[in-house]
Amino acid sequence: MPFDTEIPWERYALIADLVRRFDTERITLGKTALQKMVFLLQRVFGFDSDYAYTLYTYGPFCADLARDLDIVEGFGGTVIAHDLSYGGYDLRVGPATDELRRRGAPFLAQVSNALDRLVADYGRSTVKELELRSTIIYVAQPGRDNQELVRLVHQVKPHFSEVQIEAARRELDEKGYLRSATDVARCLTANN
Amino acid sequence: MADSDKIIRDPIHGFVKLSAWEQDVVDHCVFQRLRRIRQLALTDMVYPGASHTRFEHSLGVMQVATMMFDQLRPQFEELEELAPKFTKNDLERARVVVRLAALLHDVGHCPFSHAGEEVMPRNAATGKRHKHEEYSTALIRHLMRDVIDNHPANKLGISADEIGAFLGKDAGSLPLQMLFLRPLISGQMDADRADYLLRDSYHAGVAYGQYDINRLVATLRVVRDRETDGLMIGVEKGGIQAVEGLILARYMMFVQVYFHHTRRAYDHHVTGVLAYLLEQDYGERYGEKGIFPPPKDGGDRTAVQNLEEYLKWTDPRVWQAIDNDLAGYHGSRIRGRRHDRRVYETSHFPSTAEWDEFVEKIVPRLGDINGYVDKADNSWYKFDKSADIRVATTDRGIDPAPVHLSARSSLVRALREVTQRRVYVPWEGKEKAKKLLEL
Repeated sequence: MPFDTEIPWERYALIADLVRRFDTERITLGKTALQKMVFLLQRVFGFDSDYAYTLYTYGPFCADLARDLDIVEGFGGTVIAHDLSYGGYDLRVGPATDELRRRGAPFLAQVSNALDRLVADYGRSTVKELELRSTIIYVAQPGRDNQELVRLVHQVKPHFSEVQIEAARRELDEKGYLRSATDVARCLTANN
Repeated sequence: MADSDKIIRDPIHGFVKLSAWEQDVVDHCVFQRLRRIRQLALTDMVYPGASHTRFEHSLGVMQVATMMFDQLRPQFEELEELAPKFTKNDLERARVVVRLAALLHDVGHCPFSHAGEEVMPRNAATGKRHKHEEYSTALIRHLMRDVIDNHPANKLGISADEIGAFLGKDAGSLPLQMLFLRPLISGQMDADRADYLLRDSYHAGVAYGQYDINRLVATLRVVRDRETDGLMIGVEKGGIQAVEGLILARYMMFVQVYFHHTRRAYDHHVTGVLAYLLEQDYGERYGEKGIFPPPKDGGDRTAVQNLEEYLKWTDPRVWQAIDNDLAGYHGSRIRGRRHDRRVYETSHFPSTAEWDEFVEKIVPRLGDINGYVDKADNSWYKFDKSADIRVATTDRGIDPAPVHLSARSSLVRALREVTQRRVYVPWEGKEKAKKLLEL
């Protein structure tokens, strides 16, 4: 049996690359925002980093991604600072950020355009805005109409009004995110 | 049909109380099968006492989930500002759903629990293997529907679909109240882990999994995440040490029991035995050699047939094949306790330089010798330090400004995820491999 020495550099590189991108743009990247960005990358742009998300009251969350972030921190791929002003974290560039990016360079080349678009579209969004949009994407299914989608999202996010949810849904629709996400979901359902 | 409550003795929690309805669920053949699925596969090859089953663990998870729910219940009832307002009826209903979901969360396990998951079929769309959770939800929906939906004690209209959604991936259709309660079954401080650490520790005869569960439960608190406004289950300030105890127990149990080098070798042999037996029985009937029938969902006949076939697989069936020398190479290894041997391991947290040395220098020395690499991060029980558990900063009510556990706990900050790799070779190849590695 061949020895499998594979190490998931792609996953670590993706985290390091997002840290680098946000740092370059001088935008704060917290752990929650990282969760939502990777979720959108998977569900909207179809790049599968093997992260399985579960929906919680605070939006889609993946425990494996949280774990990988700790591993990246251990490598020096990011420095995680607590930002007590909002009770969250600030992920900053670490001494090994670019080394990790180099190790996953082929994967990053594949996702580069998608990340450009994602950061341009939502890099400056607040965590609340990202949480709402990622929840809409999570709940969106082929054949689920807009009214039903808004109703279901409002059911789990009552602190957003239906007007706010509909506005976010329309925005995702206009950007093509919603159609893309349902296409990815349709593909998964059809093959299941 | 049971007609009154029943109390069952449990070595971890003392007593577990079952309603008449829950007794009928427990007596269902799908649940009874868990008596024949060991909790920790062949861990008894290392720790002889570790021969407990998924049956008692499932009862324990129900007990702990109930303790947690009952601790949080007064907070639901008393706090006006709680967004998912629970009526008395909602609360009673939620408690029943949580108990049933906790009880049934593991019914989908294959023989030897997680050790058998390597031979589950792949989802055609994702290319990834199905997991026991998908079998659990499919079994609940297809084979346990009658004992749930149509039970005379089910006065609240609880359905098998609802229990399945609570445990499965289709959470988008859950009401907020139930979504809020999901972390009790699947979260960073869930009842599953809370029970198995204590239970596995007790049966293995090690003290590493012990922590103060009563303090942990007593300090659970509803908090509101400042970033998202989402409601979460956190802990009071006074619960930090209890949570630290839980996380430390997780770390110690991972290193000493779940990722024990001999235990992991037997996981490998169990996978080999199952693949062999499944191939003998089914050939390529399910599209690939050596896999279980898939948990095809959707209410059709195929789903039921597949699930009924799947349920026939239990530990005793596999042991019978091993004992009769009908389980191939890996079966003979288990029977004679001639497991694969660890000949090399990295540190718990390899640096990038250590990875490079491992991949470029260490492993190539073994040439074409037969063996494999085991990865700590592939283990189902992988350590997770849960730095994001929220700690309340106020004394009463829903805490509006919780902080992350890692901001308050230097112990949790210091812990690191284990990413160790180990190299195994067959028993008789150990000396040769060691010599090659010494070069």
